[in-house]
Amino acid sequence: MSLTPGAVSHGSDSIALFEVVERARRRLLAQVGIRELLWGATVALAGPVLLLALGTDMLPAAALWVFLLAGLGVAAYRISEQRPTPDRAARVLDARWRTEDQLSTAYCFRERRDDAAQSQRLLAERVTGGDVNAALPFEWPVSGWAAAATTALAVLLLVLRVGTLSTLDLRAPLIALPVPGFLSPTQTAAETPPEGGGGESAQTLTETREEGDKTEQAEAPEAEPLMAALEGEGADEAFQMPEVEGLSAGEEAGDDLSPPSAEGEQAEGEEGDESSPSNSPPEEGGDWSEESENLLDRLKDAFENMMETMQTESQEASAGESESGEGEEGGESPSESGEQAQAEEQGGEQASDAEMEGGEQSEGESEQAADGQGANNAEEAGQAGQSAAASGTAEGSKELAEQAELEAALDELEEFYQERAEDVAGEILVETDSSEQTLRTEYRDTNATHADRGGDVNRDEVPQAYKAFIERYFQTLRQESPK
Amino acid sequence: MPETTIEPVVAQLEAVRNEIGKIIVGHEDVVEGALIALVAGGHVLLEGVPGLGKTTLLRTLGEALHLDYSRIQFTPDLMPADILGSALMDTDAAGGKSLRFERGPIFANLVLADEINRATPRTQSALLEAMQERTVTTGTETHRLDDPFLVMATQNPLEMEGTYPLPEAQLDRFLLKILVTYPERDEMATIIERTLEPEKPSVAQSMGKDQILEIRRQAAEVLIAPHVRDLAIDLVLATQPDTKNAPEVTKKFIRYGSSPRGAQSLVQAGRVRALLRGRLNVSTGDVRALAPAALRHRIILNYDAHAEGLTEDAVLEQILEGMPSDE
Repeated sequence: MSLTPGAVSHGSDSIALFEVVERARRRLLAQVGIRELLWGATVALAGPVLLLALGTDMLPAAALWVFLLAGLGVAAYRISEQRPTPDRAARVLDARWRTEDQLSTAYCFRERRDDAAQSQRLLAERVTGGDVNAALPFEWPVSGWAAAATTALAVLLLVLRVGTLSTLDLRAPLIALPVPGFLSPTQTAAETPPEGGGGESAQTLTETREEGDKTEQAEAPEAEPLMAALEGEGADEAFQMPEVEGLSAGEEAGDDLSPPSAEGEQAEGEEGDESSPSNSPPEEGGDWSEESENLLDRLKDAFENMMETMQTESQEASAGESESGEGEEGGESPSESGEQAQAEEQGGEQASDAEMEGGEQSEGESEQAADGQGANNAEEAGQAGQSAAASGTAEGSKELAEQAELEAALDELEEFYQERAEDVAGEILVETDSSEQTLRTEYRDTNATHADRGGDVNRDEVPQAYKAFIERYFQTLRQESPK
Repeated sequence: MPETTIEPVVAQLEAVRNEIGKIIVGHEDVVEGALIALVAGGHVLLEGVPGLGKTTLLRTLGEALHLDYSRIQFTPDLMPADILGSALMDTDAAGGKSLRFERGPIFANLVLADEINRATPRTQSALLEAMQERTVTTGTETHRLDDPFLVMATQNPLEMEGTYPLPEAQLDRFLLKILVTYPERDEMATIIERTLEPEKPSVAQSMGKDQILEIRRQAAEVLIAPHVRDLAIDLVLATQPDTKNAPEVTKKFIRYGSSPRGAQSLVQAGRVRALLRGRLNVSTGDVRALAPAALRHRIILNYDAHAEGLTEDAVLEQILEGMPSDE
């Protein structure tokens, strides 16, 4: 008796089987492709995210291509690695349709022409009527969430950048990296040759100054970029410009920078109040010939704000603060040292200006701004050092106290055990878990479980007749001391 | 669509199951295991407490299959000759004497070895050759056993006094070890009803020797795909604690793993199981379903497992859970 005595047509079988398997393979391939392309997109989107965060001064724009190529490479590699074969597709279909591996077996033995294989293919053909799409539904992959999250992060950074800096300029970083390897904004500004755009900057600054009264009210919400320009390399470069150099020398400040109107002073006082607590990073300096008019407006405002601050501070206080600021941060931020020096030298010269009035009106606010920028940084550093020292002293005394308590407790325990030991006799049984032990001797430096060293009781050592008693014994143990 | 001849095969096996079902209530997996062992050419070991119908099941199977059937009650004083047979002195009419081999109860198609662990190891070993080689050697003569030959042994896991646990070599010769469990409530009600009936149902002989051998030949043609075969191999390898990729549960609780005979058993039994379900291919489901019965008597747990109250089935279940799936 044969399984297929002339019952199977050998010529036209398996067409439906092959079609179903091929459809399943294509669908699986599409799913794998989408999943892995989304992973690739995630990798590629990491480039814009980093660019938006670090800026083109830290991360060159060409890195975008690197990330894009890396994403494509990751996707291509993973797709090629996970590309489903027809056998694999048939097995997945079997699992989804619960056809007990009939499809995969028939596909596997598709080349065989004997009766058994033909009959099995015939049986497999009967279960190929299912819906492949329903068996292999598209599910939102994890990589999709990763890509969406990366996209959202990129958009968030873009919004943050535009909202904070009010510009689409990608050069300045959003975050300041405290890594010595990266160029800090101050170092970048110091390395930038001042003569590159100095004349143009001066000209633009003069033009901007004329428009200053018009733009100050509108620029009020942009306090952070202002302070960024004031604290960062913008201020440094401003000091390197002709007008600013004269100002830092205490000679031509009054000539080059005409005092703004009272309204402007008032507005600046408000701006200083808003901008002083902010910690936005300084804007990266670059080619001043390409600076926008908006940035120069901010620079001018920063100058005026700084001068107002210097004029309204008392000389004694500002001198002490400036000294400490110079002593602490002179090497790191020369611009701030220059500010303090200007405050000392120009205090008497500019006291008669109209700015004095505006400065007095916003004295408290200006002091806050000055505290946030310059000398009080040194004060804060000093305070931090003092508090750290105080904390260390306190912790040391605490440790000593704990050590003393521990020694006293150990002494008491020792006395207690010595007294107890006089009355105790017998043996101590220590039970340990045999499987968790590590046996290592000086002669053999290998790890092994207790059982590996023959420490366990052999099965044959326990007579079968006692097996029930032993099991009962362990059951009793488990009942008495449940884990 | 043309039909294959697998349907008559399935119908014949189903008829045997139905006949056994007239006597045995429930225990479908036990009945199926016995049928699988018969068709696959293996032997089956049933383990369960007394009163669950182990002996009745095997006796009913013998009645339903129209095969020579013998029952051996194993006792401590049972001797190998009591199983294999012995040479007897015959005296003819002329007064001449000659030795004649009197066949023992092992010469049957179905041999029920009841409470096999009560016999001494010497007597148990008398079965080794018969089970593996299908031959019996006495003196200088070797007698071939009739085909099909199926040893169905039972043993009681509770009573250990005066018993001799089967040695590993003996256990390995059983294709499957099937645990007979207590019946469900409704099954017990049915058992009681049938017991109270004045007339006991009769079992018809639904399959003969030739049919069994033909089904066995067909079962040998059942296809097994490479990935299913690999699953059987991986399962057996996963029970061996010394292998490179042995799972943690194996390293922790198994002292000796299954021999390659375990993989052979999985494939052989899987083929018959597929045939019983109307398929001409072994599936991963067949392998997974048969793994406990085919491997539980082929692994030896270590003392840690006994101390933690683990059984072979519990360890095998964890191993099966660790096997990859196509889902």
